[in-house]
Amino acid sequence: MQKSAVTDTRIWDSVIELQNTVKTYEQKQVISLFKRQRVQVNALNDVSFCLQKGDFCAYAGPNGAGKSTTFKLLSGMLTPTSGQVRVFGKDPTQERIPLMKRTGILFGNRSELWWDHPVSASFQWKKVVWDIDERIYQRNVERLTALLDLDDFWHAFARELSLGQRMRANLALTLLHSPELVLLDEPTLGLDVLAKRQMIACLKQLNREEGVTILVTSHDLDDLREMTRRIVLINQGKLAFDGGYEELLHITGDRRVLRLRCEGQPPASLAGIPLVSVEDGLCSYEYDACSISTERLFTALSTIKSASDIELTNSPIESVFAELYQRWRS
Amino acid sequence: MDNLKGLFSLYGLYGKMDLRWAIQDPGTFAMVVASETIGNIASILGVMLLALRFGGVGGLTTDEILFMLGFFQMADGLTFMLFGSLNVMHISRRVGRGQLDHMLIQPRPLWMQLMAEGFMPVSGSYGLLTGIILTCIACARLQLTVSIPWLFLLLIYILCHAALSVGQMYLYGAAAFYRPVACEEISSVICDLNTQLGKFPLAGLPPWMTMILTTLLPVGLAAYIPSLILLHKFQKGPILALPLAVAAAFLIAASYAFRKGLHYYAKVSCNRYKDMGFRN
Repeated sequence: MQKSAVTDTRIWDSVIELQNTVKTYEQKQVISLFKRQRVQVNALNDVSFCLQKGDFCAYAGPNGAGKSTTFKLLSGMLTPTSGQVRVFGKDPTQERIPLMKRTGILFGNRSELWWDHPVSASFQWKKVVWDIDERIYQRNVERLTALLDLDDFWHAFARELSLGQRMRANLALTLLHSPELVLLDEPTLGLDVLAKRQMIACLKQLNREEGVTILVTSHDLDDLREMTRRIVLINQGKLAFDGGYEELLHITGDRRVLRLRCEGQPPASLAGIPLVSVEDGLCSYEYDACSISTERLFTALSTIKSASDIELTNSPIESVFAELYQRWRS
Repeated sequence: MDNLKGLFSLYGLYGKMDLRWAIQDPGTFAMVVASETIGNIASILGVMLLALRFGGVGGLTTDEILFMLGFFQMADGLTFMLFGSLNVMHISRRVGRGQLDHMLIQPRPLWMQLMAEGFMPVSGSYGLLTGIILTCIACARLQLTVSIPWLFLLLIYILCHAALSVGQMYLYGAAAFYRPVACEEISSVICDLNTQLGKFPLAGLPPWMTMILTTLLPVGLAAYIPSLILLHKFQKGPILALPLAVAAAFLIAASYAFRKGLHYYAKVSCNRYKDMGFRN
């Protein structure tokens, strides 16, 4: 797959910039009881992309693609093997302290909350450690409490929160110091629909109203599509795609799903479109809209006498990615 | 100056959080303090009973043993009060569990966080208080003249004990950067070693063993040698500076090893993450 030409990766005054970044790990493999071998694993292989102020970008890829490594490079926890990593034009490993004042980082499986204290205490802790001005602190607490609905559990012990409440509190904590850049690694992990909605709405509002630059990873690609305008896809450490969702769908083919409810045995194919599943009498046919004309499709449909209902939708983004990942793997 | 201000603001913060923890859950707090105090007293009881049974141990009288144990409790209690919270002292746990990342996202120098984050002046004060009481009883029974220079010397040796403990735990704990799983508990092992062996007098041991136990594996400097000096058994000579010199050497070595480990960590990170023990 070709990298999109939409994004210029050579802009220096960007918020995030990776230039020909390579990160190599050495992996020890056990061949047999007495035989070991060391293998070089390229977590990132010549990756270049940049984010400008106000960008809201998704960063996706299959497991082990290099997403978390990128986040660790951007937050100064790791040094690249070669190439450059810049955040606000600075090297994150050299300028960790000033950069952390401007950056908010949330890893979905980690919590910054103080377990044996009320949620409010964690916010007061962050106020001192990040040296947040009292006025900004009060403003942000009020706003984030309203946006993420923290009121109900503001005085509850962090250890007693549900996963959704904990993630919302963690996101609010990440945003407390008004960061200009927010890095979110799987923020919607394990959340129910309502908690997801609140989180996504909050992030979209911050991005829209304050121009906060956000880079977010998730395996929930529908969430990513709802949140972001741009997506960077990474596979086996290499940049596979950088651009908008429409463009991505165009590259992967204009996938559609035709759902047909009919009585009796459904046809195994419809104008050459294969039947992919049958569930409760609902037959699904997946096809590429570019490769078949609507006229041909409707002609084929008109021959099915037992059809009682027809539904035509775009293929879910999940299916598009599943196909992409499968294609990469093979 | 800014760093110092920042450090004290963090001490204030962690002190306040510790006090808040004690107040908001007094039942748990009382249980923790009572059980830890009993545990502390029990841990010194073995040596004390030996001294009572035989009228002293290792060339020290029963009251001198009580003084040594009081000193140990006081010094170890202070170390625990300063660095005991959130596995700051047991640094190999934090490194080995991949929890150092939590510190790296804070806009503070790492040394400042390590100095302040373990501070627990309320819930961690039982060891220090027990030690002060035992030392006061021993001083009264020994009819020791407590002067300002003597108190100053006492404070110096207590700080040496803290530096030695933390220095050793960070020196050996740095191994967790390289082998996170295997070395996760190495700082705790070092801590236990000091706690168990640091309470015994070294008299009667062969000179080469005494040498090892006061330099390479300095359990003799945890309480025995400082107590001898404070009890005026050594009035002058290089031995007076030995705890200070060895503590400084361990701190320098620990600083070097930890920095080297951090550089390695920046290359490979930690391939595991356990939230167990993190701010629990």
